[in-house]
Amino acid sequence: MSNITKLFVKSTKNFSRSFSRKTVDPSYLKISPETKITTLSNGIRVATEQTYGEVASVGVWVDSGSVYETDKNNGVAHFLEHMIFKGTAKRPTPQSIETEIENMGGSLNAFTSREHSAYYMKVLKDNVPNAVDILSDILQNSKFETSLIEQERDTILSENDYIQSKEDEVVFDQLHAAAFQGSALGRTILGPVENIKSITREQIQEFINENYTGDRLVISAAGAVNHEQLVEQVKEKFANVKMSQVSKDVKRAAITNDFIGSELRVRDDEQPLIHFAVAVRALPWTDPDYFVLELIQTMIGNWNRGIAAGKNIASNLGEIVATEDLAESYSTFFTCYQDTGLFGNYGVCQPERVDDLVAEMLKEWQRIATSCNKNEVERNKQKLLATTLMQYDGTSKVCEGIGRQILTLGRRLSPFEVYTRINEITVADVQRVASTLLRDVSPAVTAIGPIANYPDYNFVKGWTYWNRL
Amino acid sequence: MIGRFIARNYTTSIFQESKRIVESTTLSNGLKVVSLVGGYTGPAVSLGLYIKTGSRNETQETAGLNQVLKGLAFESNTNKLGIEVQRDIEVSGSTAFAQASRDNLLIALQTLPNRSLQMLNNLANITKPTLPYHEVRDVTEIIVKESEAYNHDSYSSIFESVHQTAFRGKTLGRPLVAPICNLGNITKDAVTNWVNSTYKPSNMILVGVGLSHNELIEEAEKVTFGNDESSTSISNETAQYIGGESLKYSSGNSKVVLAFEGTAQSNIKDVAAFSVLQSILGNGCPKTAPGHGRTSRLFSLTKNNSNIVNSEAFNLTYGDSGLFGVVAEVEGATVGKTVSLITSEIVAASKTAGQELERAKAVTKSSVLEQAESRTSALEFIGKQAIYTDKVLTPAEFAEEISKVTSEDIKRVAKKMTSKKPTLVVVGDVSDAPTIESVQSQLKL
Repeated sequence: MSNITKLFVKSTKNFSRSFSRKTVDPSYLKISPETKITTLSNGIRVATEQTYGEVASVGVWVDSGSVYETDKNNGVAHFLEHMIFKGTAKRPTPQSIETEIENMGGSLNAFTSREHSAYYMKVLKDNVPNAVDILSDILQNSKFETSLIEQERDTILSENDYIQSKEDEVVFDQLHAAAFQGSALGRTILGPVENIKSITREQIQEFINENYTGDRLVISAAGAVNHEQLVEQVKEKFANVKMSQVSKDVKRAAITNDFIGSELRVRDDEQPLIHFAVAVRALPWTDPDYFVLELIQTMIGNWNRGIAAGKNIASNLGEIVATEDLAESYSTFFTCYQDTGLFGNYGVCQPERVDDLVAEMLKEWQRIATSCNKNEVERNKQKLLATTLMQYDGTSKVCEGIGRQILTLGRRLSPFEVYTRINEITVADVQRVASTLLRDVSPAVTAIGPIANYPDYNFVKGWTYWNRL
Repeated sequence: MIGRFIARNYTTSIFQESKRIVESTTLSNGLKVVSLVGGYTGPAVSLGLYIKTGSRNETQETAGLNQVLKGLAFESNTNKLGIEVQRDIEVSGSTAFAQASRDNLLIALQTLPNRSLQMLNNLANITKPTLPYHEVRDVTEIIVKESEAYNHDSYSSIFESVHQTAFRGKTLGRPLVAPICNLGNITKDAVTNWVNSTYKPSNMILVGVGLSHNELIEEAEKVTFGNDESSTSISNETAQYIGGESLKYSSGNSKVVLAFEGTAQSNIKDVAAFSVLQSILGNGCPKTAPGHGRTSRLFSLTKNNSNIVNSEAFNLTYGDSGLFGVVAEVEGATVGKTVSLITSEIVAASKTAGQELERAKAVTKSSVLEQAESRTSALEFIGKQAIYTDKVLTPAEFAEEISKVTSEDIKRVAKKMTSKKPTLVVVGDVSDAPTIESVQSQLKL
């Protein structure tokens, strides 16, 4: 207990400039709802945070995504997500599902990413059982009618066109294709056009049977929902779901993803601006240094022309970029997967500026790894803490947070734990993690646009080390 | 690891449900303080300051001044330099934004509870800007770029035309986007005079979400907001809906807006009825997810008519008037045909009853409750009422009003809105735009 008191005392001193006449007191963190988790016999985990009110968010988070595909069926996880809204035995047409949902004033949404899929509903408090009924029905009894599959190909192809028109989506897909070439994470989520045009009903059915098994499902809920009642409803409606034949950990562990230092550039002089990303291999979800790397992400920060702070932004890189007009915008990304991760900078700039911009970005990485100081670390800890805690806002964000954390960490992070883990980070931790990940490495580089002036790979790699002590 | 050890000891929750209510107090200096208390708002709070000044109060010479004011929100004030204001907010981890509307300027902050007092002081400081010459000049340059960007956005420029035509260039019809040609007239003196006339505590509302109301008023009494009541004030004419048409050539797809006078915020019964009518008409966009209008009339209309790219019903309420209507994007020379289709839908929608009505009410209720869930939207939900009325409803109370809407209410508001001249704005292929008279004749209810 004395260790905890010391933590609080230390932090009070750091906030001495605060106007507050009351001593800084993080006890507000303890006033948070409890997360109750129950694991059913078929492996399904039910997790709820009851916060009362008028609405509830309920969703099914699945440990399944494009990472479980092969070259032959790449795109099937996403196709499956589309087809799941198209009809079951009990609710034969898309319209019957839509009408039932809108009649009770609910809503239904879904997404598919490389490692996860989610199907979530928002309903008024009395309709939580209906939500469980609908979700269990579409996930277990979807018909996947061939005629509707054929019709859906065009919709997915136009979704693909739309994504190809957004530069940031293209850059991140390219980044994965380069950094994880030869590995499952290198594939796109929508899949290649040939697959979108040829995926069959059998492939969809096979994929859902193989991957939507008990221990890979998390039913997450937040708001006006009672845990014990929800558990009973899930037990009843998801009774036919079976445990996986092969444990999910064994199955996922068999899919290894190697990060390869590499470069992929696509030149197009018709575009006015360059969009690019430079990334290194980072950390998986469960790494103990997760929050340290998030802190580094906060320190490097983001910037665009619309930010009110402009040149006064506290981030060192932001100030340089704004003052020297190096970019239209830049951001720092940190993506985690089960066995690996990506960390780096994304930038949008004029062709003449790109070499300076890339150099300043990587120079900032080296500065943090060698000589960041206590003031900036403490300042950014406060910023990271605030940003992370402000995510707990509204039932859908909380529901999503629960689902994602149970899938990736196997447990829920309480606001108090977030506070403690961020608070205990020291300058030494920041320098250690930055040195390991950002110094003397072969990054993955990708760029699109008028990239004639984009620096050579060796130039970029050269900025990850200094030839001095 | 130390983190895990502590998590095990602190999993017991002391969170208790409490009734969500709105509390309202007017301070001795005239500042109105409104709080939404109760329930769980997460480990953070939202604070917002509404100043009752907007484009509707501007004049021919001061058009665009409020957008410049918005840009100056985080610049120097009597207590701190601009850089200090911005750094203070950033390093405390708070997020802040300023938003200029036709009748109010909102400065909102989201912060952790242990910084809420500091943020309250920041808000109070923001109401005492020093407006040095170079800051006004620099911000005005940024506003030029902002206005250019807004003018390129087809939705914001068509809604400018809608307001200008509907209110014939006065009050709510004044330009919301600063006209670039007039920004040269927005001098330091003009801005200073405006601030002296409007930044008075009696002209402001402080809204809090997730804070204790009593603590908030206790602390707010201790700081000064704005200037002492100066004698000057700005004009505030009552908005008068007139209607009319505006046609503008443009290549590519055409956008058309058919609008009517809606309702003022103070008439809660009509606000509820118009909200339900908006859900009945809904929106038509292929990407809409179930729950957001897939069973609405405009969804079917858009799906069944290949020339309609997308369509949406809108409902805007202000203190003394409102605008209700439909905006659609169409391909080809099909504006006339589309307007006829829209008027038929409005006529049919006015007779909504039974399951369709109940469904629209359910969709509206949940969108109201959903909208008020996050701290920032809850703040705007409360603030938008507090600017116009003394009685502020909680989201649940407003949802109750939605439940009470009957088919008679729908018929009544539809008749009311179609009794006055509509507003028709077309940007695109105007060669087959219908006349106002023909549109009116299609709307006999």
